[in-house]
Amino acid sequence: MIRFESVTHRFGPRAVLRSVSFHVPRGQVCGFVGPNGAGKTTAMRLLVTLLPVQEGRVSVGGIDVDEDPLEVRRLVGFMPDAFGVYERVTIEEYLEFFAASFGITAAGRGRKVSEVMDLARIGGLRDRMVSELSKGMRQRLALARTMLHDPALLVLDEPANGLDPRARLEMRDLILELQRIGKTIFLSSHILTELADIVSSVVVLERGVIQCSGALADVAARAGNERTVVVRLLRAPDAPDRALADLVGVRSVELRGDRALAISLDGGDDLVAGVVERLVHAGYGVVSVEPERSDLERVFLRMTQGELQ
Amino acid sequence: MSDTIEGPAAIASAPPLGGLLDRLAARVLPKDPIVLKELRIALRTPLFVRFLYLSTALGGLVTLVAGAQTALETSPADAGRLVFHAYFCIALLATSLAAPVFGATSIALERETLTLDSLLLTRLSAARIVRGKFVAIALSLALLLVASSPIAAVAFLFGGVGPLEIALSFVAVLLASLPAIAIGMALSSRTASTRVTLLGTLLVWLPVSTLGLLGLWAIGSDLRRLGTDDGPFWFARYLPAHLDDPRVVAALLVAPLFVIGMITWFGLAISTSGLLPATHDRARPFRRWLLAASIVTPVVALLCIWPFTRTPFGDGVENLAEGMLAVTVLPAILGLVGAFALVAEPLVRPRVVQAADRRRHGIVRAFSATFGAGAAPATRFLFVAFGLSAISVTAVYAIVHAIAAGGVELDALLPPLVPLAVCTVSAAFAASLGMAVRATTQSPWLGRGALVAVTVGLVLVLPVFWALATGDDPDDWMRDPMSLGLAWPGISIVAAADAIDGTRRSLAPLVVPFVSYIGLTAILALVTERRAAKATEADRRQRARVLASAEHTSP
Repeated sequence: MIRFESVTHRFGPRAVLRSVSFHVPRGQVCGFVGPNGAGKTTAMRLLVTLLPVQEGRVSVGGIDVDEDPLEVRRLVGFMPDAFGVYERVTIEEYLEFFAASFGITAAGRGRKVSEVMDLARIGGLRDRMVSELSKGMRQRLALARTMLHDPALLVLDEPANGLDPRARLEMRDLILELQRIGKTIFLSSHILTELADIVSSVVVLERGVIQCSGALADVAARAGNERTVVVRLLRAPDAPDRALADLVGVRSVELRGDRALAISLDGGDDLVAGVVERLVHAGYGVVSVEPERSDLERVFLRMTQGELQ
Repeated sequence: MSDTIEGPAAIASAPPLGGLLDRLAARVLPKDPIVLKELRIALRTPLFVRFLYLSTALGGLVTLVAGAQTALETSPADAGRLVFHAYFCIALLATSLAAPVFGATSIALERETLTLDSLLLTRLSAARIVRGKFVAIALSLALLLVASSPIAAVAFLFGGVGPLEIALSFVAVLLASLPAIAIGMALSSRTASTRVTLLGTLLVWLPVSTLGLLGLWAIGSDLRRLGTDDGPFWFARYLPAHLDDPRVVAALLVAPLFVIGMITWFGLAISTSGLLPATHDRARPFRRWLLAASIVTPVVALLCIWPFTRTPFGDGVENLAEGMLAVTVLPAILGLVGAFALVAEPLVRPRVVQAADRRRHGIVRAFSATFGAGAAPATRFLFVAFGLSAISVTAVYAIVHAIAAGGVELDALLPPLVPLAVCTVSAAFAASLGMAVRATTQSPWLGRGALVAVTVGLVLVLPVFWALATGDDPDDWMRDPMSLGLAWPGISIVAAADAIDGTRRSLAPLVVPFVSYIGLTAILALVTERRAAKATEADRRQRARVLASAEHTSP
């Protein structure tokens, strides 16, 4: 659905994207991650035709964004990280305006507006003035707007930025719902824990260079099996490292608080199962086993140095 | 794509009402989504409503006090006319303030409040967005005028003013505000800050409107002998009474409407190109304006001058030739304005244009490739604009001259055409130099700098330098065929004026600078062509290389 081919982009003498190549298959939720200033927003603006491609090629659904930007705009819905809304109109007037601007007929407009309001869960607020909306509600309104012309691809730049925890969870559910109805979603976010729950593929960018891209499982495997799991026990352990001493792949065991162990491993899920078995066998009741970091966080930390451009 | 999506032309908005009242409302309310949205936002803005109240109250107060004061001292009819003039001066002042402000904030505010991107990503074209905003602002101003119109009706209480005068004055005030809106929008589309845009627009427009009002007043005072009164809106009475006089029609109707129309179109073209993304053919709206302005402006100017050249102002043919001298510089000026804007054209034609050309048919494709987007086609387009401008004004002048002289008199016809040719080719030289500098240095601003420098050099520096260096009188320059003073385009106008008066016989020495300008222009145009061809080839190779390497590395 999205294809970047050797894309380089400069602002003056400074290259913000350097020979960037990746692709995102149709129907996926792809996380676009990287430190601040990595070039994510620039790449997204190239994708949605708001910036000209200087070198290389960017295409959406096989259409070159530079050769047929109008057709690309039909396929893409874009929600920028910083956006504004018209304050002195109601939610319904706002969406009606954009529906008309997207060329939706007067006959179908009301139904379409209701549809996206329901999808974004703002259907009960149709007569509310936009100026009265909270930040979370504005995010939903912006998302509703991007869906008005039924785009096949949604490009969301930091959609959960500035939202409270509840609004973030709701935004996450909304994105999953959009994926279920067949949309391809390309989103950037700094909140990797939440992104990890919804993305099926990932593109990691740092200093304008792609560090890795592909299906999340493949990228995680490429990043290595080194991981830390936190095991919570029923009671305080007296000598836990002894129970795991001869288990191949266990690198270190560290006590966290009274009843939790941070176990550093170099292995897959079999090794985690072996650790649990050993601990149970040694008489420690295992309450829970959780990875200290998600696969996405591991990939991110492994692949990036957090350097700014 | 959803089957409910329709073409841009059919995009419309109907109010969510029902019944007879709703059908009426649907007819009255604007159909354009941009107009509707802009009006909604404007009319719900507290500042707009306050301005409406304040301007109406102040206007009413000043008008009534002035009327009451005058009524005590003069006849009621004079008081009526004073009220009429006072009201429309205040209305003009209010719209002269409001129009640039509305125009200046229209696009810059969208950019500042981060709503512009989402608007540009809809299916509305840049031209449609600009047009919608312009119409909405004009409607808002009309609303301001309509809201305060009861004050104008006070003039009827005193008498001395007719309804047609009031109606014409309303139209004039509204028309006068249109260029202000367009200029404000043009600046607004090019600057990121609303404050800068506001300041810039007011700095441009307030002096223009003040001088315009004073000029109008002065002309009215001068025409008092012809039966008009002293106020600035004298034309509202004078024009309907003198519609049979072609001079009045030319000066008070055709020329002002044409100037207002062209300035407004210019502003809207600049605004539209400012909204187009860098991937597009951004010069297209401006090229359309330039082509129309180049062909029509000199012709309209000549046709407006013509009535004034006829008796009783002297010999019609000679006056016409002298009037034509004033028109000879217009193709050059318009071409230079065009060059200043088109000098920013990219060396490599935008890919969207190249792709669109591939889908086009023979003649359209060839026309686009020859005169469309890109530095080399823009240079060719400028030459076409220069040429068409000179040809159209020559043709109209020949026809008008034949009518005035009762036949074709070549000796009398030719003198003004010589400076027309010299001024046009010297401007074409300046334009092609600017384009060549831009093509060589890749910098639009260096290109513009060269263009301005050469123009100033040709018009001002060259004659001053030559006069100081040689001590010659410009009249002597024509005697020496090798004189550098002949390179001054102005000498052709001086010489032609002498030829019309019969004090000079030959304009032959001007052939040398004319041919020199053509030669230099051709060389510079070739430089631009070669640079553009090289850049296009380099871009093609680089793209092919990038795509080939991407095929190897693509997952």
